[in-house]
Amino acid sequence: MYRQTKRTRIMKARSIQQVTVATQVQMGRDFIYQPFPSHQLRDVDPFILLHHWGPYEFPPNNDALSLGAHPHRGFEPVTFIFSGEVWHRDTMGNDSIIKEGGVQWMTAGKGVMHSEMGTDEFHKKGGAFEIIQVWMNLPKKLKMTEPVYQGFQKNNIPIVNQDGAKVKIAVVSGKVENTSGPIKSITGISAYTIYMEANSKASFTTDASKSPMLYMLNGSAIVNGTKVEEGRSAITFNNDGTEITIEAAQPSKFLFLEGEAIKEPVAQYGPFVMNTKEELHQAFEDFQRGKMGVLND
Amino acid sequence: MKEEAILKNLSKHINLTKEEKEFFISFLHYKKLAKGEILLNYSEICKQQYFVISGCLRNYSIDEYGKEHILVFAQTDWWTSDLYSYVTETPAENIIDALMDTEVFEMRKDDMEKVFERVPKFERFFRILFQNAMVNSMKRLSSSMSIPAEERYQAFIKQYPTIYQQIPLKHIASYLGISPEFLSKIRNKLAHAS
Repeated sequence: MYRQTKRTRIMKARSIQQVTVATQVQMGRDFIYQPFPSHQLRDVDPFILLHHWGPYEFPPNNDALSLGAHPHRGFEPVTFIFSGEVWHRDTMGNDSIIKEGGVQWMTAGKGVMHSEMGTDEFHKKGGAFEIIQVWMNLPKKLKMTEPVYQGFQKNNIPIVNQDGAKVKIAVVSGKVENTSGPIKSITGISAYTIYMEANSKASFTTDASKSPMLYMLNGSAIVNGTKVEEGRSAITFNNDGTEITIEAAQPSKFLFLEGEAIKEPVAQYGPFVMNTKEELHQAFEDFQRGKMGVLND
Repeated sequence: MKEEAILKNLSKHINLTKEEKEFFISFLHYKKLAKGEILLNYSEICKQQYFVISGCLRNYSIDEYGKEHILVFAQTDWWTSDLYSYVTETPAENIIDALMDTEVFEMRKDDMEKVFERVPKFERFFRILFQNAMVNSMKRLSSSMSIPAEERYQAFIKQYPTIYQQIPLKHIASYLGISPEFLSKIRNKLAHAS
């Protein structure tokens, strides 16, 4: 009897809390999409920001992506590259070009300078470009941890096939079925990119103790019974079950994230995410005094 | 006398008696800022209007990727503040700092109200000041959407004739919303054309 009750509870679908369509924002010269933070969706604790660039089609001799040397402290900026390539450099000495299907996961911790640029080769040749950057917050006890960069190419990220291989789930971190991702998340975050053909079905189990978020980059699908027909939609869930099922009507692409809510005060300005205003002021002072290192453009 | 500068500025729009001038001056607070010093930090509530006696201030924000976006420069003989924070009394989203050694007079919002009440002609002065600021920001918004960068740079020189050569190129580029490299090209082109 106990086993049956437990099984029933585990298999219950999480109901949809909200579907939030991203708004366009201007970031310097670029127009990008931001489902949160927004008036409709402040954050999905521990995820505090999602920026979606593209999809763009750049001509030859372009100057795609130009985020010159800048600092971060107190969180993890993570970039998922869906097409194109991103050249990352930082004051830890990393110099890493990650291509389509790869991920750049940086734990900024106590402070680091990095740059995120298009590559010389991409600038010369042009092509399709689409990336997502997510800011994953760190709890107070980890905000000043040592910085770490993890970069993985597509072929180092394992795939779980579902529905006769019409669905491919790339496991960046966490575990789907028996497959684990290569990223070591210090806060236990799970991250998958999901590629679905038309008329396919994907399903996976979420952790009841964590907050999941599904972002549909493009396509049209039914997620746990709710129609999501507009691309660039963030889907958030209630904590009343564990299962997520996606039925794609058209070819569709998703980013899934899941993490433990931190539930601490957030003080954010510019490139820093701390708990208090005083810590933010300290971050700016430390940056200006060169304590986060020097990285030449 | 530093007060002379602000009285001369007031005389552009209103005539004051000796007593009215003295009353106004009694509320001014003098402040000297070193280059790079912050006058108003983000998250603080802006409770003052500032008058620039000498030097130059800039009002800017910083985006998530550390890039500075300059909204306005306030040069000698200009009034400035973070109007959004000042009016709504909510934390500032921008920063005001000194681009060079700068001297200012501060006037607190509650003192300003006292001045308005006792000498209503100051309401006329600040009405004109704010309507000019409104026109300028409308013009800036409109030109950023439709005017080529080269013309916007020329308009910038016209608006900041005394200071533009002292402002670093990267800050002017940020104000114009273009890259420093692109601004260099524009400057070279204009230098060769003249």
